[in-house]
Amino acid sequence: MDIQRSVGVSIRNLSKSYGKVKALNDVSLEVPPGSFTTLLGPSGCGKTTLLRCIAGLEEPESGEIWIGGKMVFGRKGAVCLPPKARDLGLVFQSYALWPHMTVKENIAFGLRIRKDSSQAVDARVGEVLHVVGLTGYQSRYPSELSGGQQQRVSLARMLAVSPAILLMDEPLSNLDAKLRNNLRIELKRLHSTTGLTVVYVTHDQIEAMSLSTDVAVMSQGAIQDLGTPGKVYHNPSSTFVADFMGNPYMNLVESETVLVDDRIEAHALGGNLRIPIVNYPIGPGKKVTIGFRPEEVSISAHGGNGKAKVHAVLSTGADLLVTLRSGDVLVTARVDNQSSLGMDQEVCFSVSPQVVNVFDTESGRSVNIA
Amino acid sequence: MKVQHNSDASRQANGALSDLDAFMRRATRRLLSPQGIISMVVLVVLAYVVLMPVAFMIHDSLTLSGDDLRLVPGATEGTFTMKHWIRTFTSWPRFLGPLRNTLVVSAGATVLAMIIGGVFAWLTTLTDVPFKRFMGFLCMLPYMIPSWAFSMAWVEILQHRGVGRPTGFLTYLTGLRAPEWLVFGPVPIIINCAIHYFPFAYLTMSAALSGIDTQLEEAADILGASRLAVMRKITFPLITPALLSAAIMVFSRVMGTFGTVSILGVPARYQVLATQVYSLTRFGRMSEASAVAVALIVLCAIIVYINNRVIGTRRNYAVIGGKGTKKRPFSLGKHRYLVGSISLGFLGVFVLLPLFLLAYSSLMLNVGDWSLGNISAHWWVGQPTAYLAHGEPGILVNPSVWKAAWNTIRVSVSTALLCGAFGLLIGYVVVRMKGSTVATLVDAIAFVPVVIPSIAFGAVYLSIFAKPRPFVPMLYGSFVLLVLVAFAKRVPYTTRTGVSAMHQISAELEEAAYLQGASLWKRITRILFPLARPGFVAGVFLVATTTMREMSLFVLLMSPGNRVLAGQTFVYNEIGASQLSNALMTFIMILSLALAGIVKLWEKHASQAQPALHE
Repeated sequence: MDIQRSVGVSIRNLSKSYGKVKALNDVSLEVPPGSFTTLLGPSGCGKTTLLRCIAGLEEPESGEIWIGGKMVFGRKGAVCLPPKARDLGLVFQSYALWPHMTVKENIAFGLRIRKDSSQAVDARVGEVLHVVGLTGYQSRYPSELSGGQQQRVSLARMLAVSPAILLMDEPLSNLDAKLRNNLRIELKRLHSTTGLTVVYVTHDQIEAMSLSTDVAVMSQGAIQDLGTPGKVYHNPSSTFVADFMGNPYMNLVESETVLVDDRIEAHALGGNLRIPIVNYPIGPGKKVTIGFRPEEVSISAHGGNGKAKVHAVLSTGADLLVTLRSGDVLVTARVDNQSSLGMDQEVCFSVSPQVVNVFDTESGRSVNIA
Repeated sequence: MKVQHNSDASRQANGALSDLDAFMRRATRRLLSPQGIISMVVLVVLAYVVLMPVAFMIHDSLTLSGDDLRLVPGATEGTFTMKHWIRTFTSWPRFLGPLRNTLVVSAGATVLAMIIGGVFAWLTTLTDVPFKRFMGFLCMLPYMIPSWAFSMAWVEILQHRGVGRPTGFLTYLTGLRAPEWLVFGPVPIIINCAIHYFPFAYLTMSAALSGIDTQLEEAADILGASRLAVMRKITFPLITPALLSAAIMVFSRVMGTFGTVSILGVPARYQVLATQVYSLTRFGRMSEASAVAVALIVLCAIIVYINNRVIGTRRNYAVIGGKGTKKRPFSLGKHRYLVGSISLGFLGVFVLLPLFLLAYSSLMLNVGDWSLGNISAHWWVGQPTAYLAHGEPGILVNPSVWKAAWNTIRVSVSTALLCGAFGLLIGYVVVRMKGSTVATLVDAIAFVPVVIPSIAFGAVYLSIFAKPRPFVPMLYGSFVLLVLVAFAKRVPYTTRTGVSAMHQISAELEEAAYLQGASLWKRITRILFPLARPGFVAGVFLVATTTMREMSLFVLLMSPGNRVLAGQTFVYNEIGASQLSNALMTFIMILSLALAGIVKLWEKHASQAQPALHE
């Protein structure tokens, strides 16, 4: 398929409320041309509202939206282009295929609206059906397709008109796990072969991690963190983002900074866990929250920088998730399958200091950002 | 070796025997299982009240009865004959003329009802027209009262001495005389049927319009379709199935309508198949009446079949949508109030005014004198007077009216409860045994009454229960017969509510009780019925309200002993006591509206009390 024109989306100080609820609170976001930008967050965080504002299906109250250097919303609402003037496509969560039209008619709809010749329509329909792997399904009705096929048609319908931006609203959430994985692979290939700019909404952080070039984590109508999936995963900007990303979640442990021999250490679990803090602009005597991923915890019989009892051992197949208990705090470690650990066994564990995230306990913000 | 062989053979024989044995045991177990018994009972009852009567009627129309023997020399009773069919179906006055009239009236009323219903559905769901709630109420009002109330009002308003009638309201007020074709005949029949049946169209279309998944329209919007194109290519095709099924409903109802035509058509000698069934029956020509009734059923079945073919299974989609945001109403701009007033004015003139004048005319002592000085309560509470209406007393002091009222209530309530309970059983069989032959059969037979127009149903029941037959008691003139025919005709209503109620109850809820050892009876009374109660009550109310104003179904089956209110108005009409008829109709309207009000209150109560029940 042809390489698409890559344009970016620029969102500036966008606000929108429903009654008293602020769905979007002064949101700004740059979607680079050719990127796969995911809006990630729990339900009700405003991600779908933001997407619908970009599409032109909702009208924000204030702020600006630019698509490829063209203002589509702005000047206090004086400029508000209808969806068709925004050169974009939107794939809906529930597919929104027209049940009274065949697959071909669904896909050809946009082409016929812009009055393409019937040969051009036929050719283009064939082309996009090939892209989504549904050649030969032209004359089926949507009710005769499986969920995964319906979503492919929904995608093909929007690809057919070659939009500059492709918006997707939780397109895979109605599908079963296996199908979802297959379609993820196809979406990833589609994005890299076409170079299309994609704005993707999901509440599934694994989906966000695996597909995106850029992730914007949203909560309560605001963007909490923005960056590459790796950045957001390893160095979240707040305890909210840390708690939301990853499965199992990041360990978040309350601690206090202590000056030990010219160095700052965070002491947690009643002194059972001591982590040196380097390269952080923080003094002693501060309440901080330490965050570290389960895979950054290792368990040993001796040594290490923490002590705990084995609380429970869960196997994921590939490896073990070990929950350690110290006092009433639980810490999760991901260790390889070879380890033999018994319940309530006393163990030592260590956390490698380079990957420790330090958050201000009060604000929940990352200390190195503040 | 030989011994070995023998024992092999005997083992084989044993095996074959036990295979058959096992099959028999399995079949018996299934048949005698609680589900098996329920489904058999449902199947037998349905066959008895629906299939058997139709079969007997077809049989009657194709055999010689005792009365016909003199027509065919040497024939015996029960001989097969095509005579009735030939004599009926080739006769212009007996069949072909009424057939043409039926098609004209049904098609005309359907088109008109769809237009009126469609316009009001569009106005109240998709625009910002004012007075929406009141408009919605007025659009439902015609359906809550008997269909021929409007016809009676129509006559009261437009009749005049020029058509051999007393002075109507229009002539009294303005001196104008409506042309005869506007007073009696196809035009007023079409208009009045449309007024009674447009609520169907209104309800179906407004449900379809407001139920469309807005994402379907947004998708077209994004692909560049204009507002008009979205309407034309997405919205309209999406509601087409709903539209067609509403049209079919109206069409088949009008086809079986008796009251309206007998009031507005018969005086002008305008007959349709429904009135033809009635008069042939009254003249004792049962075999020919049966033939006409069979034709009505076939006609109705053909139309339903065509409808199903047009919609087809591929396009059989529900438009009730998933998520989607609230639609912005189409702005009528500065014409808002103008459009609103015109619409309300239309409904006022065609719905409210006739009913008001009908009620008013029941207070006029002398027919045709609309002056205030003529007001009297005679027709309501007056004692018998020899020179007024053959000495009939006012309706509220007439014991036979009270008897009819009591009969109406008894018939409605018994039918409603029977239908409600049976609907749940059907729902149980159709939902829980989905895929089995029994479930498929039950589902199909429960639909059959839809294609039997009311008057034909009455004729069917008359023809089988009026003379002795195997397995059939003589029921003519009995209360039981009315309940039985109403039950049979209304079964499709509660089948719908019963099936949807059962769909909402997860099988696991019942299975959990089953595992704990609850018997089927316990499961039904303790688990299923309490959970299905909202559906049951909805079905009961639906049947009770529609049965209360039923006439076409009962008119052939009533005798003085089992007369219902609707039939009493008809009797008054036949003896020319139109004022009494109007008074009684007003009485029925008040009862119907009161019942509708109770239903509304209950629905409100239920929607507040029930939300936690089904997820």
